[in-house]
Amino acid sequence: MALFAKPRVSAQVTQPVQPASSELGCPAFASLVEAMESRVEKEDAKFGILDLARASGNHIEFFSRFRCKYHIGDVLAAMESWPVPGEDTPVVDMETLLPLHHANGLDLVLAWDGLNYLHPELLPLLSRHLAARCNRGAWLHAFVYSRGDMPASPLRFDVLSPNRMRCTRITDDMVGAPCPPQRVLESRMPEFRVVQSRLLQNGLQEYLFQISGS
Amino acid sequence: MFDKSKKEPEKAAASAPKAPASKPASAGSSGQTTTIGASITLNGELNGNEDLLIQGQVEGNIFLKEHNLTIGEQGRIKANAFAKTITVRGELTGDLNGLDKVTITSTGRVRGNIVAPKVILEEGATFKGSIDMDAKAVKPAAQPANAKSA
Repeated sequence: MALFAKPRVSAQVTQPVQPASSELGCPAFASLVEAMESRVEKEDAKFGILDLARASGNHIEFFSRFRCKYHIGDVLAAMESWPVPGEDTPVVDMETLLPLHHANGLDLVLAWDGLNYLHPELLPLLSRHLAARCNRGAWLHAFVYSRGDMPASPLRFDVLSPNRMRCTRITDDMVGAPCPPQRVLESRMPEFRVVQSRLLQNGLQEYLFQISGS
Repeated sequence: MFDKSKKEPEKAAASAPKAPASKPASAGSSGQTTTIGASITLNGELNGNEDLLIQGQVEGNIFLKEHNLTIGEQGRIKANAFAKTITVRGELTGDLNGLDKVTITSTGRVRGNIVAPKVILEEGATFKGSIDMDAKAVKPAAQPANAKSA
């Protein structure tokens, strides 16, 4: 079940509502890249980056412009089926779901559209788990659907330039999008605050978070 | 145990399913490429001063100083590797240090950590781990104390 819980079955439709592959502007991502470049100019920074998507040559090539340690999380496809706290699962061990013991000192988490597929009760746990590994000033970049339906599985994002991405759907099946407003996201992710939020033309809301207290 | 593929490239390629699978990433400065054939299993330290193509199974550590290492499509490696360039077309579990570049091709599957100034993942490649993209971090510190040249 998706974030903030619109029932998947009742919302399911089969008609694709947008092309399988489309390009979108990503101004918050562009600001993020600019901020990283600025940090490099000031202090020759080396970044810790966690990419929650599966390993992508495109992502790696793009971020190779920075001195960085790039961790592959590869959890986007699995997040939807993560166990939810309840009678059967009294404790959810996030370290088992997303091992980060080798990923100390994160400066950037790339969540892509993964938050849309996470059960609402897991978002605070994920936020806390990530924040525990983040450096002061760390960013989290994410896309959240703001209206209507969304693909039944996460999109694939390719970075074309700092302000342009190509997103590709890997399924034509659509489900209801949870569409949490910003205040709900912030309340469920208290370790992070929104520093930029942009509504993109395809209905995705682009968020750039920064760890609170920065 | 090792074949000199420079002398008999056709013979070395015979055991591979596709011709490109047995082709090393590039020739080294010495011009020689050694092939560990698909039937070979090797345990322990592997050191050399020429390019190496592995189609067999290797467990241990691989140290090629300033030469190129290619894991062929049939290669099954559980090892840490240091080389000038590393190209993985088969399976590898371990840490990779590439002085210039590490490439995981579309058939490559790697679980481990990579240190290299340039890392290329081709479409279809599988990788789990982390990548340290920092030229300053790549040093041949992994060479074992008792290393000998092949």
